[in-house]
Amino acid sequence: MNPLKWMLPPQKSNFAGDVDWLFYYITWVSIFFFVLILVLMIAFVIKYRRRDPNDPPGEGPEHHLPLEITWTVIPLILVIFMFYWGMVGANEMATPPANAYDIQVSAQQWSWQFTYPNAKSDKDLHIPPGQPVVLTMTSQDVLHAFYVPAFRVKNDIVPKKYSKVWFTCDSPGDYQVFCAEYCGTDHSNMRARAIVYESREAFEAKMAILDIRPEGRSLEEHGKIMHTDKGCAQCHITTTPKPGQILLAPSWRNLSRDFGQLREFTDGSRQIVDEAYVRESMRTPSKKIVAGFGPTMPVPTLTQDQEDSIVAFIKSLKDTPEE
Amino acid sequence: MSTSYQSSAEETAPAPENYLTSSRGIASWIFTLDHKRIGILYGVMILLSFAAAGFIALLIRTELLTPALDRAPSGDQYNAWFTLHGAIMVFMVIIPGVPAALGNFVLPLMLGAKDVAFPRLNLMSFYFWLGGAGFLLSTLFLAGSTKVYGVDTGWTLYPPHSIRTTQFASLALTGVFLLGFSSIFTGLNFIVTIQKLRPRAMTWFKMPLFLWAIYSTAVLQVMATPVLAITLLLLIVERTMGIGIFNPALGGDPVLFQHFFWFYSHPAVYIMILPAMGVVSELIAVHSHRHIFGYRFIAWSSVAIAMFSFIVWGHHMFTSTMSPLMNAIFSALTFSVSIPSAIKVFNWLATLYKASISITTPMLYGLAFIILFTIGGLTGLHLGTLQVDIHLHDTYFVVAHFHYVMMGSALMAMFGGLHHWWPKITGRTYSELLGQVSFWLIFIGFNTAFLPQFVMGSLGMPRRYASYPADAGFTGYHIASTIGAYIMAVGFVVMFVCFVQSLAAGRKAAANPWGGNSLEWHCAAPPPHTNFETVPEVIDCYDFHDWRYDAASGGFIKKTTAPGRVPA
Repeated sequence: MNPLKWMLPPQKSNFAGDVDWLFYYITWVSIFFFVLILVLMIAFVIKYRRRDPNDPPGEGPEHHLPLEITWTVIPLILVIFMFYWGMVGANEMATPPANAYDIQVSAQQWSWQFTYPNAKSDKDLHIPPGQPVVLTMTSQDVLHAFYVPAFRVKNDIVPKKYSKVWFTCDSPGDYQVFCAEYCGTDHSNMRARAIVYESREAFEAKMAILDIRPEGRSLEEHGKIMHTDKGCAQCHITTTPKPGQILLAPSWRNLSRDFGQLREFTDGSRQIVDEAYVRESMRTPSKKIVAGFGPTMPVPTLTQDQEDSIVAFIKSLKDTPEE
Repeated sequence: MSTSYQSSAEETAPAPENYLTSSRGIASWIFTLDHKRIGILYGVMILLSFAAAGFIALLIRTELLTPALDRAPSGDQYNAWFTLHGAIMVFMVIIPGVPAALGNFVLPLMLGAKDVAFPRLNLMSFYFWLGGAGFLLSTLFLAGSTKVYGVDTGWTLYPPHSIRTTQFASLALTGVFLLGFSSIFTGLNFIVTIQKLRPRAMTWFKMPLFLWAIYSTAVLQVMATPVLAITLLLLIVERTMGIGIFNPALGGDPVLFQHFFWFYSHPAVYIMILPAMGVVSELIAVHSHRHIFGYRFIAWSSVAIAMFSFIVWGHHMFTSTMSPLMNAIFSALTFSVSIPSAIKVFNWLATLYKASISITTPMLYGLAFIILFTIGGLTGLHLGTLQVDIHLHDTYFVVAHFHYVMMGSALMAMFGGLHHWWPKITGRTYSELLGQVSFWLIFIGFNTAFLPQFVMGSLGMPRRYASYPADAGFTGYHIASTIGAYIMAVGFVVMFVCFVQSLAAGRKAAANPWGGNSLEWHCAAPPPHTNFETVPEVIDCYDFHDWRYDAASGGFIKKTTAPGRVPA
């Protein structure tokens, strides 16, 4: 029975036990010293309180070398253990095993893209149970950090650099992924799910259907789903902007109405909006920036079918009612 | 040496001229070279800044009452709030708080000096502070393309975001740059003052511990702050001219920025806490009416902390993609700082043993400092331990930890010092009742606000979030934290009332209301323009045997004073 258990989330990875043990060790040491200091302080304040303004000054000792040495050496020994165990544990976390399952992570303002060995990708992290998983992570724009409290793992994600995180999880379930490094406007919504499957088979089944448009779903419908799944929805709204509404990127509804009309870009050039322009903007977002916006859009990873679906969805917005 | 003229003059003769009455008019204040007046100018501006940043903290806490983003106008505006709260509190309030406001007033008095070594530099430092504050706060009135007032870089200014943001970050950077120079000038001034203006008989180990702390701080200010200035300049150059230094899109390295930034900002933590520790050494000794325990250990631990603080900056970067070896080295070095901090706490505690403790408002702040600093320091062990830090990094555990150190320790000591030296500064007493009521409100409010944040953080709540998942169990802790913040706000309002009441209707204060023996208690309250008429005799500043309580003046007088000269 551990009376401090409520302080940490459930243990769901191979590291959680070690981290928690060390956390509890440090916490108990802290509680011991805190109580010691508090009790002595209260006792002294009560016992040696000044009862009359005319009382003479206190006459306690001015120094005591053995005491000074004691309270230097004991904490020193305690922290050496903290340092050592913390280092050993962190080294283990920094060294992924050879048989780990590889997943590529691309972080961008303000969404995640997890790409699997079969080259398919999703906004959520799918995890095979019981096998070590190593994430190779990079950022498209600013600093981010991958953090799953239940797994006790965290690492920063830096543009033009690759960082790693690895873990093994046996417990099927759905866990929260946070971005833990401040990344601007929608930092607090840069979340994803980490889903651990019941079995290897269930995991493989999910892998097989990733990035595939289910039978019978129209391009428009699928495009609408991709709008959120691929992170487009973080900046592109699909409604008519209200007066005074702050936009991070052009509204797709306005874009659909602008087909056949001229658009002006930040470099002063102009072009008529057509399907080719929309596709070009998805593949090379920084080439033509609509006047009034910044060059913030990352390059999305899309299959041909997903690109087609999104184009179809945008074009359909002109005729669909606002939600 | 005799101080009898003060005690005897108090009730009989008209009030002697003091630094407040020696010259009059606006110009006598804005061009003043008197360290006491400059200290007051700093003090007033710092308290106003504290009120502003505190108000922003209430906005932040109000937004976090519920999981959804529903009270702040936008996510960007929330981001600007926490940026301004952090930047104002760090650069405008806590860093100059104790040294530039209290230190300016008290330091020359403690040395028995007429003024600091460079009075003009002192005034210039204040105007640099004012200019820096102006630039930083100007962002409050300018809205970028996202219609957000303020800047959204976070006080840590991490690129590439701080380079890409469309808001007026360069103005804020210029502001912090100027505030940094203000800090450097103050540090330089205090080093020279302590080196050169000590009375001949005051050897290093006869100095009050407050001066040891200020001296250690000043060395940090002079050596670390230029690195911040250079870093900010590079960032401004990158933003305005597009030269790639920190932005990977231009071939720069954002992790390099973090090294530069923390090379300053970690010592800056000690720029904030060391002077506070100096204040606490004075509070504990004077109000315990007993010689401080382990003088040399407290003094040397200040120096040790100042030195170690230069080599631990990497512990802010354990998850920044530094190599495991670097992480291990920085973790080991970090623990080295915990030892001198522990030594200080134990020595203060031992000072209470066989003491004669008055529970006054300043003493309550001193004791609160020990409790809150102990919590702040001990939770630093969690964060210094590599594997545990990986889980806790950038969560509310860190937020709680540094608020215990900066607010619970540094600011509590600053307010303790303010109450301690208030009678000396203003020549007025304040209501002990109001002082203690406000202390308890602040102390209880503070713990209600920040203890839950430790748990929230260890449960995984990331910092700098405007909204959070409703199903993760964070909401209750956030509500408690917000209630605590409101209680604290009420406490500060009571403190304000207490000070206003003191200025308007306070009794005349005794020159030595607490029975202290460092030199500032040997001059009149408020001190005359030139502080001391004669160079005072240097004595052991923690030996309180020469003073006896005098009920008529409500303070302590020298035992050598002839009884007949004091009105009974």
